[in-house]
Amino acid sequence: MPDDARPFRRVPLVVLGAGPAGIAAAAAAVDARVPVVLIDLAERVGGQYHRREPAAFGAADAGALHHGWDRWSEDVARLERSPLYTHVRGAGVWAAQRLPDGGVRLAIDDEDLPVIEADAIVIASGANERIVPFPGWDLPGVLTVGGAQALLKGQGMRPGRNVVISGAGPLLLPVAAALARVRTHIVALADANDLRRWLGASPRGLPLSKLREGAEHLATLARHGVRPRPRTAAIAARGDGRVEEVVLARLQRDWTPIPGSEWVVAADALATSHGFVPDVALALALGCRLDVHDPSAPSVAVDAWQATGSPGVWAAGEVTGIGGSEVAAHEGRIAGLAAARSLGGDVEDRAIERAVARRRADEPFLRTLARVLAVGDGWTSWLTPDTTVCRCEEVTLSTVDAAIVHRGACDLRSVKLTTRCGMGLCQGRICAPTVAGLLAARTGSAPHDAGALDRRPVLQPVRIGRL
Amino acid sequence: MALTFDGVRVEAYAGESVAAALLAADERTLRRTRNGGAPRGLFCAIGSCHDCLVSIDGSGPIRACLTPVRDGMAVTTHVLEDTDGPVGA
Repeated sequence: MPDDARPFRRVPLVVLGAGPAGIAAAAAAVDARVPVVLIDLAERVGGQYHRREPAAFGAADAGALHHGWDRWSEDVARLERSPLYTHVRGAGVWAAQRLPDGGVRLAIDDEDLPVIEADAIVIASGANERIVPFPGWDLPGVLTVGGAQALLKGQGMRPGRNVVISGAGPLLLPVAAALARVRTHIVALADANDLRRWLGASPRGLPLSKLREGAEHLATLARHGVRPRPRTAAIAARGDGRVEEVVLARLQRDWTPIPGSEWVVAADALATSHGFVPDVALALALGCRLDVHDPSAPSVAVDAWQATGSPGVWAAGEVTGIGGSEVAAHEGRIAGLAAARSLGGDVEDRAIERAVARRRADEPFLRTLARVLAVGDGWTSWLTPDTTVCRCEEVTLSTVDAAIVHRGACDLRSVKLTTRCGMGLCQGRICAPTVAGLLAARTGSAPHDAGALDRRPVLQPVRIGRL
Repeated sequence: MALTFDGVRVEAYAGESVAAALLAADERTLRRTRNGGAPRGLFCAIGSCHDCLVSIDGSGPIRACLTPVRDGMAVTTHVLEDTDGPVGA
């Protein structure tokens, strides 16, 4: 009964997020005969990775734009056939709390189901993009690489006619290749890191499937005359009310622009982002501990069974650390099985151990990923005093620096309270990694309260009438 | 189907978002900021950043990227005021 959304109060298991991790978790739970309610902000399952056009577009070959489509669509088909599965679509969770009996209560922005309680939850809330700011990044026409991908996959739209793609992270190549395939003129494809770093990985650290995927993207780009430029970045966007030109520069290894290497290209769109930041807000609201070894990208700490340490709360996928869709699916299966087992589901420990072993085999790849995708400290030199740091509250670098350097703000909370960074409508989703990075750069040590800007009593905006 | 943006007719496809319809018409500025009046447009396209706020049929701020088009919608550039209520959509 995938469309059934009758009001109900208490269910055994909620899975939050319908991306690769959430779908794998829900499918594992249903396999173990445990009823599951899957809640997601989007109308269609898939999350950001398996995003599709609206059903109304009638696209015939949705899989054409996706990797790993077959296994994922099998899980979805199995779920949709199951009487144990309920999909609450187009619904954001805007508040979450623990219940005295060990369960959780979620407030949902949904007319038919405003509140749900569950004995257990699997958090598969995914990640947001990390965007390193630079002069002009707030001009219309600058968008995130993931935004460009969402436009293409979800709306069949190109972000512009002459597009610069710049940044770092695993999205650059697939999005550039997808844009090239639909005949977007790619003015430049700039990678702040160096793709050749991948080749330093051990064979186990770079699975053949990933190598093949990367080679396919490069071949597609080459067919369209696009060659990625390593150690290069868009460090400024300029124009009268919208992007008209982009300043590119060659970078040192730590992302500091090489003086005199700048050049200017004409473009009407700039797609930029620099990796991912786990979306930990819901997990924090439910008392989960964070792993803060990267203060700009805290993740939810989990054990080998994806348990968070908060009773009844499991987490899987990017929210526990960036690993991509396959790792997310492996983790989702573990979390779904472990949660189902705790609820008396039909789960053998051996099945969990098998899933854990498969996930353990991902470790070398994760180490490669972390090394290849690291954000270089030199990004702080891209900003000028009047560069926007917090888009929502229009806080500039000079204001943040004044707070840190002159007023002695030494943690995220004090920067937020003195500058308004993170107090706007996005609630710090965009600027939190920047502020954490600036604090580390200016004070010489990571802020002790990493994750503080992700603590939100209200997790997403909600109309007063819903309260 | 079609909508209007600041009074100008914009063609749209059923199922697409307001943001996509406006981008197709090369409308890049969707709102003006509260302090500097700076132009802002579609940025994250998935509902996180709240930079693509527009007014629809006189409403308060609504995210254009998450809002499907409806025939005859009157969309206007949004200027965030301190008196505005919470954001919807």
